[in-house]
Amino acid sequence: MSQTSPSHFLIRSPHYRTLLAEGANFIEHRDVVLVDNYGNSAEDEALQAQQLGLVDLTPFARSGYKGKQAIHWAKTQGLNIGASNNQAYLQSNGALVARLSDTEVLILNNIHSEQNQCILLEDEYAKNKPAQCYSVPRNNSSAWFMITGKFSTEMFAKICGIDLRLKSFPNGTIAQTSIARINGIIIRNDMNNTPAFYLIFDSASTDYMWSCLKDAFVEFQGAPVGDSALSKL
Amino acid sequence: MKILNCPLNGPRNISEFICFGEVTDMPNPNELSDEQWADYMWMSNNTAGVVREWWCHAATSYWFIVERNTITDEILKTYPANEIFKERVEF
Repeated sequence: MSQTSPSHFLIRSPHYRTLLAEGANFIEHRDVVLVDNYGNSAEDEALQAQQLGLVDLTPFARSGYKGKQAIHWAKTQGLNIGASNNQAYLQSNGALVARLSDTEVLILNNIHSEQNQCILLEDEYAKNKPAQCYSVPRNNSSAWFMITGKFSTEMFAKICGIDLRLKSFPNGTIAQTSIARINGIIIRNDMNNTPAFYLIFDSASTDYMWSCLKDAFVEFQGAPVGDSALSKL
Repeated sequence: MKILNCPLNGPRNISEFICFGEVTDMPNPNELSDEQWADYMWMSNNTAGVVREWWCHAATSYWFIVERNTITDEILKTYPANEIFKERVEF
C-alpha cells in the first residue's frame, strides 16, 4: 500500500482530503499525485468500474483556446479537428480535442501518455501569440471526473436532462449542459468496451459534485475507483 | 418543462438560458445626447407580438437570437447571431 501523501505535491486534486476520507491510496505519477486505489485490488476495482465507477482525473493536464482563429491555430499545430461542434476528436498521441463551438476547443491530455499535449500547445502559444486566439487555462479552474460502467447512463438520468443512452449519445459526443444544477461538459470517451464519460466542471464545486454523484450512485451500488483499475478495463 | 432549441447545443431545458432583451441597432454614442443614450441603454420597447431577443445558453456562454411571440410566449425561431451581424461593430 502506498504511503504517498498528496499534500507533498503541487499538482493534486483540490478535494484530496475528501478522497483521503474515502480511503484513497495515492501514487506519484510523473509530476502529479493521483488515487491509485481505494484499498482494493486493481482487478476488483476494474470490476466495479465496469458496473459503475467514479474516477477523479483532476490532477491530469487540460487546457483550451478560444477566439475566431482558435480552431484554425489548433489545426496548424497538427491537431486533427473535424467540422462538427460538440464532438471530441482523438489524436494520434491519445489526447482528446473537444470542439466546443466554432470558436473554442478543449484539450484533454491522455492520462497515460508520455507526451503532454497541453504543455506542447502552451509553449507554441507563448512563442507565436496567434491573433484572435486566446488561451483558456483549465488546470486550476476546471475539475475533471470520469464516470464509468454500464449503469453510468442510468445514473446520469437522475442528475442531467440530456439523453445519454449509448445508442443516442455515441462515443465522442459532447453535451454542454446543467449537471446536478451546475454547468458542465460531458464527453463520452469509452475505455475499451466499458462505457465512460468525462465530466468537466467548475473546480470550486468539486466536493459538491462528488457528493451528488456518490448520492446518485447508491441506487446502482456505484463506488469510487482508482487509476490502477483503468488499465485493467 | 419548456424546451428551447439552442443553435449550438440543441434542445435544452429553458432553465439553462438567460434572456437579455430585445435586439436593437446600436446608435453611434458620439452622436447622441446623454438622454438618448440612456434611452437606448435602459428603455425597452416592450412590444406585444413577435420580437427578436438576445438569449444566452449559460452552460456555454453562447449568445444567439430568438424570435418570440410575447403574447403567447411561443418561440418561433432560434439562430446564431452571425446571421444578422455580419461584421464587427466598431465605435
